[in-house]
Amino acid sequence: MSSAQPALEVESIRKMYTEHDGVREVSLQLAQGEFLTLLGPSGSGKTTALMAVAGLTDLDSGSIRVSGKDVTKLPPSQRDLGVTFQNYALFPHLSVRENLAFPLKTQKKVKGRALSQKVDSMLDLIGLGHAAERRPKELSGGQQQRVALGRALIYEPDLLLMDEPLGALDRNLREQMQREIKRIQRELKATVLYVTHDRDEAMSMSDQVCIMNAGRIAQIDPPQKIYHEPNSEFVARFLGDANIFGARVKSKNADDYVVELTSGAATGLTSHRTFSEGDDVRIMCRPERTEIVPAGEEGAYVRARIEHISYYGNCFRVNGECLDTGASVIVETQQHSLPEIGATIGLRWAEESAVLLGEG
Amino acid sequence: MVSTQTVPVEHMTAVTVRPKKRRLSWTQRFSLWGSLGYLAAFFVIPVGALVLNSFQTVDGWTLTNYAQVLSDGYYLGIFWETVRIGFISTTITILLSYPVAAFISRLSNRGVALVMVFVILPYFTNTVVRTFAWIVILGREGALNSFLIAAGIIPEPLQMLYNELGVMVGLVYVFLPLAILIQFAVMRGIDTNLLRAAETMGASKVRAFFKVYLPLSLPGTIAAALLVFIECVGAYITPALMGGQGNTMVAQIIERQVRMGLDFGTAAAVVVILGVVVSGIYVLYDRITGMTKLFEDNS
Ligand SMILES: Nc1ncnc2c1ncn2[C@@H]1O[C@H](COP(=O)(O)OP(=O)(O)O)[C@@H](O)[C@H]1O
Ligand SMILES: [Mg+2]
Repeated sequence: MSSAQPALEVESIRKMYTEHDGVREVSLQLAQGEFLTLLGPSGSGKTTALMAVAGLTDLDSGSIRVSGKDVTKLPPSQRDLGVTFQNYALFPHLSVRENLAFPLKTQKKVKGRALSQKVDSMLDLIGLGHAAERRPKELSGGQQQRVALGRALIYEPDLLLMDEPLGALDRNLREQMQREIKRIQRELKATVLYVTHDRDEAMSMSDQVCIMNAGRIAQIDPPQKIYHEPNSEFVARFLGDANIFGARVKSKNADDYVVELTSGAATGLTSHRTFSEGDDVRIMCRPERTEIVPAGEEGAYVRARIEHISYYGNCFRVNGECLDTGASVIVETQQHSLPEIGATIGLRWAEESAVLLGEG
Repeated sequence: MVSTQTVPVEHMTAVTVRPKKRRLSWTQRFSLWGSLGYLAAFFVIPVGALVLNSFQTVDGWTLTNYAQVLSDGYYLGIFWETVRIGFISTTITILLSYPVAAFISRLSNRGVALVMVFVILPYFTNTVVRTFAWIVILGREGALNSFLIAAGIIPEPLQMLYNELGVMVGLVYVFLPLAILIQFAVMRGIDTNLLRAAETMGASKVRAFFKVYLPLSLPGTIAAALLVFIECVGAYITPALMGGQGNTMVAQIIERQVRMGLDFGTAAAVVVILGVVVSGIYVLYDRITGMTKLFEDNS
């Protein structure tokens, strides 16, 4: 099997519990060693998709291949996957050492000395050598999490599936564990399909982020790209604050568009998506790429009134209301001489900073 | 596996931490002394009297009663018979109740409420009445025999009453709900994700059951077996109504001694021996697993 073989291929899987609940038309590909995160609001179908890959949920249709092998019909025990569950699912009647040894003893690929050496080195890797004889309930949340991770990685599965592994931990510990998971993943060159509803977690850990909405994939792209070039208002708003303005396509030349904003100003931009002249569209620009200019100045695309200014140490955040449409706008700036609250300002952005979104 | 478990930290602290001394309110005093009085009146005094009785004959203090019971083949036979029938009935009860309890424990809250009504329903009728219902079903002219003959499965009625089989059917039936309830309580606390987790690690469903579910459900099963066994050994009504001449159990002997011979001393000795045997089994169980383990959560 060549290493160019994708670690996981999910082809338009479908699993509907009711007419609306479940997942449909979900397709994914993970290269060896890649870290892909399913990110979406609660109920968007992340767990269902993950459990389908694990074989713990029956599919209505679609197919799943792990390292090129079709596993759609195989039970979970024959898919060679590691899975961590949100509540860790550690065996309460077994010690940390026995928990780690469980999959090895089950699979019988290593025995005796080799087995205990493997367990010892995993105990080292997860930093729990001193707690090897304890029961799960005698461990802290972070320690339990590491046992769950170690137990899923110890048999070197082709693919690691993690369902909100840090959901039960508090903020500080969560960030520490994010780095820990990444360290172990890099060390073992593991391929990971990860689920979270925390966008910072997804952005900081992933090679690819897959946004899920109402059982479907909204967009799959690397973190930077998905943040600055969302393909829908849903993705734009789910990943952070966004300034979104109504506009109409005035003219186009291949990928270069000229659009007219509701305010009457015109701006050019590039989009790989296809729109026609006269189409109603929307323009999205992130707060940190939106600039404040004097209201009367040529080239201000939108005028807004400042409602609130807050200081964040590394920047100011300016909240305002768009004068033409009443939409709220937000700007992040390092500029220190800001107009006062109530003042009218102009907003603009570099052409390459804005993206075109379709309707809906 | 169970015996190697260390004592969880909570238990040790639970023993050493004492509540602060404080004055009790009138209602608290009343209920405290009330329950102590109740215990004294209905447990300590009668059991004490019984124990004293077992060491007495008309000649005064003596061990004669015990000597008589323990040297008499008749009594020993009945002890043995009681323990044997208790053991077999308990085994059957556990084999039947385990899968039922496991099944119920996987239902939704509503499902549990619904099914539990049917499990507990028999307790709303008197044991004597329920036992007579079985006599109607199992008798020579009973429902089961009539059905089997009509269906051509057997040529003539089977003897299912007034023998060992009758006693066991009766005991299993009476104690099945108890065994289901106790095991259900433990099984309900087992996280099914553990089984799914075991499967993703390569375990078949069978292996996941034996390596994960069984050890986690075992404390409940042992507790159920223990209680059912104690109840079986002390049962009176069922063997009296459904057993035959040869199926006398200890409780009946006690009754007969008192009713026919007015031999309180011997009867008391039998009761005390029975009590010691049962307590011994309980202590053994507690040594092995710890009754308190039942109330730990499995999360
Ligand atoms: N076993 C199930 N039976 C019925 N509906 C379910 C079941 N599991 C999940 N759902 C529904 O399917 C949708 C997706 O659920 P899930 O995959 O758990 O979402 P997420 O993990 O993104 O929060 C939700 O609306 C949920 O209520
Ligand atoms: Mg979920």
